[in-house]
Amino acid sequence: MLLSIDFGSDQPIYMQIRNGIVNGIASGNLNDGDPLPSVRTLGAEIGVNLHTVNKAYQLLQSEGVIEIQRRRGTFIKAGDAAQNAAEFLENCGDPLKILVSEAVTRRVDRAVLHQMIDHMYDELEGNES
Amino acid sequence: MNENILILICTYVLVACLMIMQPWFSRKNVLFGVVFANPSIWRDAQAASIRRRYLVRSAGTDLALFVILLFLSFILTDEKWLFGFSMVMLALIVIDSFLFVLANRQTRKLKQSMAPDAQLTTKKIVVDLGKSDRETVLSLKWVLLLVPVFVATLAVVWFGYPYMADSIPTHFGISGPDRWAPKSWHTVLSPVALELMLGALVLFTRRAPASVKGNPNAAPGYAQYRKMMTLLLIIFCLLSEILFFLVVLSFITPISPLWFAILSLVNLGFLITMIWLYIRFVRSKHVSGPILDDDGKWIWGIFYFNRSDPSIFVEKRVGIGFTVNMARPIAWIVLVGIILITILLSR
Repeated sequence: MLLSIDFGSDQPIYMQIRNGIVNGIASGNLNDGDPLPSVRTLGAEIGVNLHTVNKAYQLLQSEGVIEIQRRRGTFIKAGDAAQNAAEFLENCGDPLKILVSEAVTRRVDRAVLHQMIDHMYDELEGNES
Repeated sequence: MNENILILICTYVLVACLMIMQPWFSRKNVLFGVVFANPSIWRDAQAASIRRRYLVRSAGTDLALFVILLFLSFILTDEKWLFGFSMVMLALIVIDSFLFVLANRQTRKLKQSMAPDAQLTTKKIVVDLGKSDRETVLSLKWVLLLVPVFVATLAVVWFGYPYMADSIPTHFGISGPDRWAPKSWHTVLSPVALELMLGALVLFTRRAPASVKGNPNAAPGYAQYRKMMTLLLIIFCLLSEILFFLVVLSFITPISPLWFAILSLVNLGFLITMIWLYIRFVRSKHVSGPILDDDGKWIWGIFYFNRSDPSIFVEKRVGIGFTVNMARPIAWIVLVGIILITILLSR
């Protein structure tokens, strides 16, 4: 699974790492039990501070997406899908509401947003096969 | 001409050849430390002329210095010639490095004059996430191989000190020791210090990233190559340890000089293995995909200075092996440490 980092982007690098891994899981490129490189190795490969990678990994761990084992290394552990889905729905309400209210104030039709979401789903699930 | 002078002259020829061949010890899309997107740069007419100029100038310099070295061996005493040899070696490295820097600047100009390549980017990097350290980094367990002989050497020094002769051999030629120093803890412990230094270097190079980045195909098979290099370094350390162990033993009881000759020859074999590994796993690899343009991080194409890179050691951009990241204070401590130990030991 390839992770692309854009140094020119406004999005902080730790978020890019986090999003890349979450994307990888959603698209099925990363599965439960798949190993991830250590903080040191990934930091050296990208050429960024170890704190940056550590921040991303800690965030992913607190989100329950990966497991960091001191001796064995770091692994994908998205865990129980249903529980994850529930947690996700619980947490995604607020950011989704902000997004929708922005769309409403800019008079973007709901059908457009629906279509965008459908398209993203298709794209990610399409990668899975 | 005695045999030690002959060995040193052979060393000069070896180092001179390696210096002349430097431009060829790089990935095919790197020319004098400047990175290009496409290996076709190697066949570019202007690039070839920069290379030819370097070749002619450095070969000319090295040949002239060689003649001076031979000439000195006829007019100077062995003692003075040794000093002359050090000076000529220094001149060789300084002048050839200067020629390299000159070629690096010409290559940078050549790059600027070419149309920018879309595959060469300063903003983007793609890394492979699906590999654990187990696959890419040599296990620390291998380093444990170095412990027993180290402990044995230390034990021989510690417990054998009272039994050692009053003068300690500090230099070995083909026919055995040829230079001695009065016995002291400083002299008998120096092989142990060298062992520690070599062991520390292995730890640092285990994770050294490739000198060309951008995507996994910018340095294909690099992780495997790095593992083999680290393993080679460990075996080299182990043999050096055995050599030092014999040296320390020879402080107490005479050891046949044949052992030293055999071990030194094996170490020469390592140089050849290293060059072979480089050609097979680095030089001959086909580079593709987006390449990170980080020429600015490579001062003169030789020294690596990158504040955001946490690596202490990185793969050399030109030449075989690893170099330090000058932006890291630890790298300076390591460098100064190596120089200090070398100076202390050569006294």
